[in-house]
Amino acid sequence: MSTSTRKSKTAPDDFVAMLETSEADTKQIFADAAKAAERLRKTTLATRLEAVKKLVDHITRNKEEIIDVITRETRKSRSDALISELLGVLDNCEWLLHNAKKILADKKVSTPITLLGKKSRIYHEPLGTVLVIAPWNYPFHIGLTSILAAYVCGNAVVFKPSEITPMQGLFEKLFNVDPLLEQSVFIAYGTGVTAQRLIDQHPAKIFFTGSARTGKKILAQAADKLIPVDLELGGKDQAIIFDDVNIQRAAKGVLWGALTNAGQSCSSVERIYVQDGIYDQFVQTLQTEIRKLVVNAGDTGNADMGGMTVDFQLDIVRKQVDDARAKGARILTGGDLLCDNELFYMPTLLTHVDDSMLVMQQETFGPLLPVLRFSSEDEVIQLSNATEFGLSASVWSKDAARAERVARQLECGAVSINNVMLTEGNPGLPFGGTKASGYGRQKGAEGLLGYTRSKSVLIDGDSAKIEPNWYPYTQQKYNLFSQLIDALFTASPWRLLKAALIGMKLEAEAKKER
Amino acid sequence: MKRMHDYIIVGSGASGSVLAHYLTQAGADVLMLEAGKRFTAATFPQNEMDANAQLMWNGGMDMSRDAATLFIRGKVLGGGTIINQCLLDRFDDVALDDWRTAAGIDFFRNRDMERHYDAVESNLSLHYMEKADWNRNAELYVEGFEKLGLEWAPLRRGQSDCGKGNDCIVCLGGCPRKSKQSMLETFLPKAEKNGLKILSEFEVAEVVHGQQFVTLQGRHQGHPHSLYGRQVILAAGALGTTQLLLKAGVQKRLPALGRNFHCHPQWMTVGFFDEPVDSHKGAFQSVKSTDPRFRDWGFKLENVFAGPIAMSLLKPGYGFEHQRFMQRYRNMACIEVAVRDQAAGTLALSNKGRLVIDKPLSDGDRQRANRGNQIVHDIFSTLGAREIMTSPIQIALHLMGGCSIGTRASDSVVNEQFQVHGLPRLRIADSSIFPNAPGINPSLSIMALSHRAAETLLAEAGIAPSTSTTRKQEQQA
Ligand SMILES: Cc1cc2nc3c(=O)[nH]c(=O)nc-3n(C[C@H](O)[C@H](O)[C@H](O)COP(=O)(O)OP(=O)(O)OC[C@H]3O[C@@H](n4cnc5c(N)ncnc54)[C@H](O)[C@@H]3O)c2cc1C
Repeated sequence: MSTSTRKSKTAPDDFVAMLETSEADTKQIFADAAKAAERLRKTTLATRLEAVKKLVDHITRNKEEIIDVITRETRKSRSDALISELLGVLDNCEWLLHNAKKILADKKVSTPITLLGKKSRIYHEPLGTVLVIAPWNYPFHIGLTSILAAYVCGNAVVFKPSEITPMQGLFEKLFNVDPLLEQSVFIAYGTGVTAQRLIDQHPAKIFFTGSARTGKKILAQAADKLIPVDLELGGKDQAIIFDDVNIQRAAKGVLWGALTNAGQSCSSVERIYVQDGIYDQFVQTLQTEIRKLVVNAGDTGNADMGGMTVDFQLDIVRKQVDDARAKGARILTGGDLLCDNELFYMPTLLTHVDDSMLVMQQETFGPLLPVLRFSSEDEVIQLSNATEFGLSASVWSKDAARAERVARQLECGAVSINNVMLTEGNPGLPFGGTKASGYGRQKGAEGLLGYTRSKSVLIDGDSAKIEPNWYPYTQQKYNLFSQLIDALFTASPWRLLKAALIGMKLEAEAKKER
Repeated sequence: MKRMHDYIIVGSGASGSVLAHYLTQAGADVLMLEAGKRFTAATFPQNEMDANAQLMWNGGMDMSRDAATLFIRGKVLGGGTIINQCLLDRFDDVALDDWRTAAGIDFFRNRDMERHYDAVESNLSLHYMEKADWNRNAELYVEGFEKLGLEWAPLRRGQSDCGKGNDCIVCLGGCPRKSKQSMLETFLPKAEKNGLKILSEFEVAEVVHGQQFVTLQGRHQGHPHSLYGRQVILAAGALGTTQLLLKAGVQKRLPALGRNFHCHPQWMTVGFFDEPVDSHKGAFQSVKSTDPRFRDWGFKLENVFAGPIAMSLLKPGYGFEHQRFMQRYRNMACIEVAVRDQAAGTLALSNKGRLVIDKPLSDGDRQRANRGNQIVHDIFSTLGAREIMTSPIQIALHLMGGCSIGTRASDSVVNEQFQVHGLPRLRIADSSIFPNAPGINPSLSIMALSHRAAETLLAEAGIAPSTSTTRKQEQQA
């Protein structure tokens, strides 16, 4: 598939030395991908879904080995890998198997009366060769979900996993289950350098999940070539907790939302707004629950929170906490590394935080729980919307009407009510953000259609019939069209009848030569 | 508090304290966690009831599933060594040969174990009980043995100076005279001087083994807390250690976990004499049976007694009958049969996470007990006892096995390096690793094995066993 020669500095030392994909190789990849795309055009959806079925089977049978690789490269706790990566992928596969046919089928569109006797259709066609650039936080789930959606739609896929979590050989082995799939997905290892080379080859569309900084770079490069890009960027997701909730449950939910994957999720809870009446008790409950957590990785499934995947992310977390501490935040738990030389940051509960602190301004992507106080519904909507990001949020209240009211006013792409990060648990719901969190949607019907281009088709029969709007334009036709407009757009119970009569006259007129 | 430690030891009994001593002596960073409280000679509870409640798990009332056996285990800084009788015997060839056969481990022979026994004994003050130490109960024991032509010998006990006028039965609730060689008077103070940190009242609830370290999650004085160790040594005793591993859910990979549980079940027989015996006075235990036939038959006869609460439990029933029994407390002589149990029991977790102990007796074990009890009856009859009563309740003090040592994961839990198979950062050298019942007081051998385990750990870490001073200075520099 892909090869190369150059070592990258960013490769973590305990991993296989990272290779960059050369320019010549990227060219070759795209040439091969074009042929693959050609081949795919002749296949049926059912054939492509076969590969998904085989994959489900393969992943289910080899889940422990796959988790070994994921946890080794990410430092995730084993349960995080099982639940969020494996289960997440399998759910999506299942969804594709049940829904792709319906969504990708040619769509019939009704034809207006003025076009009587004709048929309208939308074809959902593959884009050609798409480029998927995946991040390191969910290297299995995000990569595979995107690849499979693209493939099922009939695209050839060039996939660049993160250089931090390349999981060399894992995807190759997976795709081996089906020859067509294996011939349609191309894996290019490397850093941003490789990404640039790949974009230079002019993919039909780019699907990028990652940081806003890299997202902007990709967008700039793509703009020049008019390549469309879907961007799935960071977030600063809020949890809003009203004082009528079951405190224990909400605290446990928020805790998980903030700490799953050690906080390295784009939709991690990063700001916790708690209403006055229960603020103290809520903080207290969080503190107690944090003290019960088991931090570890390479476990057998019984550790709660794993480690950080990369040191630069850990540095951001440390910087934010140091900054908050210096500006007067109180740190009730954690606040530092588990120990030197290990990429484990302790779950950190912060109070007395304010907008002057980095932890409120930037994405954290780490195990921090800043808790803020609010008193009214309006206040919390305004406060929590005042961020450059807008990915997802959660609203917690016994009052369903209030929760819904608030959900509608939040500027973001997804809201879980009385739960957390749960929109992602339903593969039928689209996922994506607004503002600096990006645009475009993954998953759901909307997400799947993002891997296609719609083609509109209008079908008429072969006959001797000449359309009235074809030449010649005569005074008589003009008058009739004018009457037709009046008939169609003036309210009257006889509207359609009148239009039909005028239509018949027009047809008769159309048969005449000038 | 520092979160990550090079070694964390769970449990402060015979195993944990010895390991703590040898590891800290070599300069290692060691934290010890103990579920029980810290007492001193001056603060031990004053009576039997408080001692049961404050120094033992479940108030000294752990029962087997069939409620036929009562298990007693210490929950206090110093573990079982605080409440035990501190009889310190080396294993004989019979015990070691059986272990070598069962475990397939070569160092179970006197040639290899001697070094470890020597090392731990050099830290203990050992005393052979003399005739002058005997109380009436011991005198009756010896008289009976001589009359029946059975062999006996003086006991060897860990004690420094019990002084005069002591009623030694008290020291089963913690020795107030700083004489009994419990861990609190021997290995622990040395370890603390070398930098051992101890958290008492820390009950570990879960052990989570990871790639780089082990997480221990538990409660410290009731509050949830997690700690982290590069190496974790489980020294929570046969029940405690096995329970922690069962909770860790490794049973699928280690089918031997919870198996091979033994306990030297004991039956006490009371002989009532017309004159007062006052078994509770003076040295509580002075002599032991050394008759080679007993070793073949699989039991020992112990020269013992117990406090009033324990004695009252031995007599079934209530009311006048029971009162009459207890009224004659001063007239009781007592000998106990301790069986080298062959049939292994099992330790498992209930759905609620509680430890369930299954320890049925095999016919063979019952025959051993019956034979011993018959001899005790003969002894008391020969001595002219007015009435003889064998308690229907079995008592178990030597809790052993559950995490047997061996060479394969298919039939053992820890390997020769005292490492749990497949979980390289977890070590065990306590009573849970016994592959079968030795039929000999276990604690000295637990200490000897722990000495060996410490050597193994230090060798792995590249630390010389006791060049402590240089390393310590380096660390401080
Ligand atoms: C009354 C009595 C008399 C005895 N007499 C003798 C004798 O004369 N000679 C002899 O050799 N043996 C005797 N024994 C047996 C001997 O004391 C034990 O075999 C020995 O103490 C076992 O050592 P260990 O290190 O395996 O466990 P223990 O000494 O039981 O130590 C285990 C420690 O771990 C702690 N622990 C358990 N679970 C946890 C947890 N989850 N978290 C934190 N801490 C935990 C316990 O509280 C305990 O302090 C006697 C025992 C009793 C009860």
